[in-house]
Amino acid sequence: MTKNRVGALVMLTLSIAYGAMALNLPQAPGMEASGVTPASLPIALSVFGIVIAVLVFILPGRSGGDDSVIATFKGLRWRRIGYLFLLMTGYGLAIKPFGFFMSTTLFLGGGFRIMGERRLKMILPISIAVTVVFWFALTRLLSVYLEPGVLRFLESN
Amino acid sequence: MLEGLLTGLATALTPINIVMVCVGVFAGTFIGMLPGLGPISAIALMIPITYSFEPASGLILMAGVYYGAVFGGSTSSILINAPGIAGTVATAFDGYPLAQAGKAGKALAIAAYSSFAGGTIGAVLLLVAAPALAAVSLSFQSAEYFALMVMGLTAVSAFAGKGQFLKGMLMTVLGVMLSTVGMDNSTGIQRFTFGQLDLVEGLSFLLLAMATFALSEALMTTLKPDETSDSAEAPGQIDFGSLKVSKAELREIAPSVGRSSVLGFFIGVLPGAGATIASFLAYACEQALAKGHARRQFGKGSLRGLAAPETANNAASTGSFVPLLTLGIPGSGTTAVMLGALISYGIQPGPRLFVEHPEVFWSVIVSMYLGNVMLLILNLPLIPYIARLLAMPKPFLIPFILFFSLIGVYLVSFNNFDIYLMVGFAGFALVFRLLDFPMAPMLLGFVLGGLLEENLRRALLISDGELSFLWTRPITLTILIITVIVLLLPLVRSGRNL
Repeated sequence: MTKNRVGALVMLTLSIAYGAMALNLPQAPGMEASGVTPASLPIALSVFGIVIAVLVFILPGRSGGDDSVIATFKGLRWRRIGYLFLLMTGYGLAIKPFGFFMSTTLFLGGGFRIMGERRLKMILPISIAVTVVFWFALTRLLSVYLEPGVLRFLESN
Repeated sequence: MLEGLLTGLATALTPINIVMVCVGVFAGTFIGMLPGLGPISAIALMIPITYSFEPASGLILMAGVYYGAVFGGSTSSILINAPGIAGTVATAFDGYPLAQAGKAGKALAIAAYSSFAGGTIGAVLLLVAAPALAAVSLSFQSAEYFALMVMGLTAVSAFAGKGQFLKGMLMTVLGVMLSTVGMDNSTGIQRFTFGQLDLVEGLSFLLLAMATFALSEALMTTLKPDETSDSAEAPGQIDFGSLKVSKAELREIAPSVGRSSVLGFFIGVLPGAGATIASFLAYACEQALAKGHARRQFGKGSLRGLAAPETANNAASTGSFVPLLTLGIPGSGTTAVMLGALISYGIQPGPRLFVEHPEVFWSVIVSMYLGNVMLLILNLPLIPYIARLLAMPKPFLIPFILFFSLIGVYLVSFNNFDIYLMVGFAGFALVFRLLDFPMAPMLLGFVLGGLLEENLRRALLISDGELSFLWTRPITLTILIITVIVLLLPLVRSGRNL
């Protein structure tokens, strides 16, 4: 299947789901008689989305080049990207309980490692130094509060 | 106008704003040089920083970043044949052959002088055009605004490129859909929030811009192993040669610069056209005008071939501020990001901006020019050093970009949910980029979506729920006719390949 068709199918599904939800939006009191309700634009958008997605699906795409979705997605560094996505999600999970300092150091160190850097003597100092500089700039220069997390005891001292 | 200009000068020339221009131009050049990162990402990365500034300072910083990023993109086009953005692809046609011939310094100098000239002429035209258009658009009402929004949204798709029109439209619709998430301001009804309290306020513009541009562009660079894997280290090792340009060479490029400036500016004013079309048109125009040996030089290191697209893309960047400042309609993804930032400052661009916040309006116009001056006097001599910064290995660069994107959004809300949303949108954007669907129309749709609905509601309310306002008001009708023409353009241009 071509890239256009896969994209169109995804968008068609999204538009149909969006339209179904728009049809179930509650009416605001007193709005029933007026020309426009909170659901008016979403329903129109859903119709536009469905029509355009169908057009993208049925009309021929650009000629030339390999438009196959398999050829496009093959041979890419998906494993590395997967690890980076996990790392970013982990950062979101860790930033409050572990605090800015520890989670950022781990995030940067993990990122360097995933990207192929093997030397710990580079990974550790750079990730710690960048975190310290950033933490200092935010908390001391810009007076932004950052969660200390597990390092809370340092703050109380 | 003179009074406004003086107001703008007084605001733009304060020490803090001069620093903003310098920092913006420098940071923009650096980010713009990174393969894969363009002005939208550069500006998006700056937005969290600008939240603590006055609106004028924030906008001045972003304008500097914009210019810097466009110039930075040209630099990577010339040095390593890797245009950071579509607007500088034409620069590589003759810039890269010049660099290969050992004239990288000369090519960069010509690019800088041309950008400066294009920006200067563009700024003068902006100075004349923006207040005039703002004065006219003061008479606009909701119906006209609704029509303008529709035109802005369709024009971006129409100029999206061959085979991209329908996909651009689809992404625009998706952007408007995303803008409907959250509480409806008129009725207080929650739409598409899935019962999540975090979504009641709607999606954050910054989050969406960061996820779909900065994050996904950085991830895209990581995903593709061959294209730019080692090139980021290359500029630091290039022999730049002399930066000097002779008088004869300046005389050779002068007419091209003049023509391309005017052409670039007017194309930039058109919503959706922007720097890419301007640079290609200027290149094609100069090639068509050249004769004999000069013509044969195109593609092999022609100075005119380098100067024309460089001039045009900078003039177009300036021109794209006209619809933004006067009508509140962003003409490109970049200006859409700026519009989003302005709205988050509590400022609504449009004709009222000219009346209510003259210091913002005029200081942006003045800072456009300052940005160009800084680009010339600060960036050009520093280019060899900035290029060396790019020798930073990718294993370090990518995690930094991811970190700055995530923390930039997190520091605005201090909500983990925003990080998860960003990761989700970045994944979506990554897949859709691979499927060759444009992202800029989505962002534009998101920024304009709220305004579109608001103006449609107001117009319907005034006309007692009748859609007749679309054809009974002459200006609305004219704008809608232009919209239809813009919609039909791709049909004429590319036949069945929509």
